Amino acid sequence: MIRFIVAIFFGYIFILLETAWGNGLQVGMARIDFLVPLVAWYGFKTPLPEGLFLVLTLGILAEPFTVLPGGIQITVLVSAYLLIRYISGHIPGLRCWHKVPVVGFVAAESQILEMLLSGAAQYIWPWGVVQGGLAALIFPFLMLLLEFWEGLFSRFTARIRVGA
Amino acid sequence: MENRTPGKKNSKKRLVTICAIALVALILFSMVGLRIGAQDFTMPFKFLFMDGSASVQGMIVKPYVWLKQFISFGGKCQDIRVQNQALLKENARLRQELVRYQEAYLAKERYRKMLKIKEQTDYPVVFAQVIGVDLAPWAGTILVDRGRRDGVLPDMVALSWQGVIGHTIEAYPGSSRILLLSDPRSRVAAIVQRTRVRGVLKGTSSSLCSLVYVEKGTDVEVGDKVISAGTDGIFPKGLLLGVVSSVDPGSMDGIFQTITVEPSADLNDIEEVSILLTSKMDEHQGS
Repeated sequence: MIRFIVAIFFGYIFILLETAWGNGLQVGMARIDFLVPLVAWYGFKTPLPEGLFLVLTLGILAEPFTVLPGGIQITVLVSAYLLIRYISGHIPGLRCWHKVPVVGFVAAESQILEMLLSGAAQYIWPWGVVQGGLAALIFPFLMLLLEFWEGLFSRFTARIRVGA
Repeated sequence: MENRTPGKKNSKKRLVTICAIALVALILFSMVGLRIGAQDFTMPFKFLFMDGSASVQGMIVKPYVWLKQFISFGGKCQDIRVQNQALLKENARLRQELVRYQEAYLAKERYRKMLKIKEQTDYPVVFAQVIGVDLAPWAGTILVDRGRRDGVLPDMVALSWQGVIGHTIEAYPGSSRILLLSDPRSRVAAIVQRTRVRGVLKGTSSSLCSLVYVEKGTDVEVGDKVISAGTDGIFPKGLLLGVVSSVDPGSMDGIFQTITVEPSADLNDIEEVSILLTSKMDEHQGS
């Protein structure tokens, strides 16, 4: 539950940041996107079916912030989550640094899917791949941030439970 | 021993007496000399004395001055550090203020240019600030901070100080979304001003647009101004959309030319927009 709250809170903040600072974070048709790395972080830790709940909520949150046809954001995030679950299910003992290229691959896949569904297939090369690279770059930092906050919330709620 | 002591005592007494007389005489001479204005008599002695003592004084005072300076420097160091920090803070504050003033000046310039647009059109105008872009990097929409509460509705024309940027597609109570001319979904009925050739201005996701459905053989040249035709139900006639940047007659079997248009406004760098409340004006005219 704590992980869900952390993910939803930061997901919403990231959507706001990405749309408000959009031009500053953008390189060509690629932009530093925090949502897919966030879903990846959540996906590595949370199995089906409860993981889908967050992804659907994030997708619904993201929909109003784009002019793309309805449902694309949800589809893209769900596909990213399922792919993460599939990969982590097939590679036992996935180390931390292994996750970086996996996130890059999943982010590139998500971007390509989003471009295909929204009729912008001409940008798949190179921007879809660049997007994957950017996501892989920011994933370790994002992971650190989210792990820190999850730990903090856990300690806080544990104290409340104990009554200290 | 007995004989020596009285002699010594006498000679000492004599010396003391002589010195005392000399001193008294010197004081008297000085006083008399000062009274009668005859300083010349004592001045050579004074010069000699002061000259000799001054050089000794100079040597004595130097270490004292050094020490004093050293001590006061230690104290001043702290003052200088405090002053330096205060000055650095002041400098940072002034820099911030300067940036703010520069920003205000630039904003004022933009507003002044936008007010010109307001003067040129009959429609009521609402000024808005850009607060966000689309979540998808290739989609050309922006979010502004004015919505239905301010009279903004879908299908109203949006302009920057440079010219037309697009039209509103969604209006919420406090914000609205503008579809830019560069978005692939954007279509504007357009005319080449010089030759009155008609076409449709279409977005291409890049910073340039294309004028489509212009037949081969029609007279369109680089540099021609493209204006709104006023037949699409959104853009009033005569608004400057852009300038023709390239003309390609196309292949032999095609029937249309490929015309690229550079929008008059820089669509990648928009901070403030003015929205023409076209529906309101139409309602007003209708009533």
